[in-house]
Amino acid sequence: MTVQEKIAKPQIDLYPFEVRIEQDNNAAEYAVRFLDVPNIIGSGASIDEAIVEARGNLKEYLDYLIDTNRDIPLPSTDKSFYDLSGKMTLRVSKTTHWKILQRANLEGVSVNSLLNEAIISYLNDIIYAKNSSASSNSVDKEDGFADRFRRPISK
Amino acid sequence: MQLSYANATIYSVSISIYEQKDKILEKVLKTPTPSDITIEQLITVLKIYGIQVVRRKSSHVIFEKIGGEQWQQLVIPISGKHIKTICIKQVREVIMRMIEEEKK
Repeated sequence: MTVQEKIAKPQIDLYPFEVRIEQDNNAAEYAVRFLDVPNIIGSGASIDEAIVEARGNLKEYLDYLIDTNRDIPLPSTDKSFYDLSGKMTLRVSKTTHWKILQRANLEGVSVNSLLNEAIISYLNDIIYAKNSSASSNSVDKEDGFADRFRRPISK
Repeated sequence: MQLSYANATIYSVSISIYEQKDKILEKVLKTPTPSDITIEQLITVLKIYGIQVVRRKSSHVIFEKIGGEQWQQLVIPISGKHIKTICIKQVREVIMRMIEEEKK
């Protein structure tokens, strides 16, 4: 696959988004808006539901743009994304290394899976926290993403 | 005589259609956002502002103002009879922005 083809079909999950709590009619729901494609939104009773809907809408939109030979807005992380190998070496203290092994053993998962889950949860936390600082409602507090990171990871 | 009767009928039907459109537009622009707006009503309202359906599937409807900008392109998910309030809000934002830009 050429770089052009890869760019023509960017992965939906690469598009960064923000989450807000929208209130209307005495009801609240989560709203997701893509930073690079602000005209595409999604909503739901939970954050996950809102993300799924927003990504579904984004997919339809990108399909439409591709079908009509239009330029598609690339995710801001996209340009350098394809140069990455997905492998990295991480230096940690012996204590941290020991804790990671203990936790992975306890959960019955590989160190790789454990660290993946932890890093993804942490990065999601940052996105939600960044958004919640702009809004008076804290998504982070309500959904407990930070807590999920701290809780044992379920199998 | 018959012709003028026909003209009057067309005229009154036109007025009735305009009144209906105005009512739907009023409903879309109203807060708190009503939760009983259908996709057909949304199509009617957006058409007033030159935003038309460019793709329609059972799950999504895509709107666009031909020759317009990205913010005038909308993807509305269809799940059930009524449109989600967040989408109505988005439509309202687009209409208000278009009104503002027309004033400039």
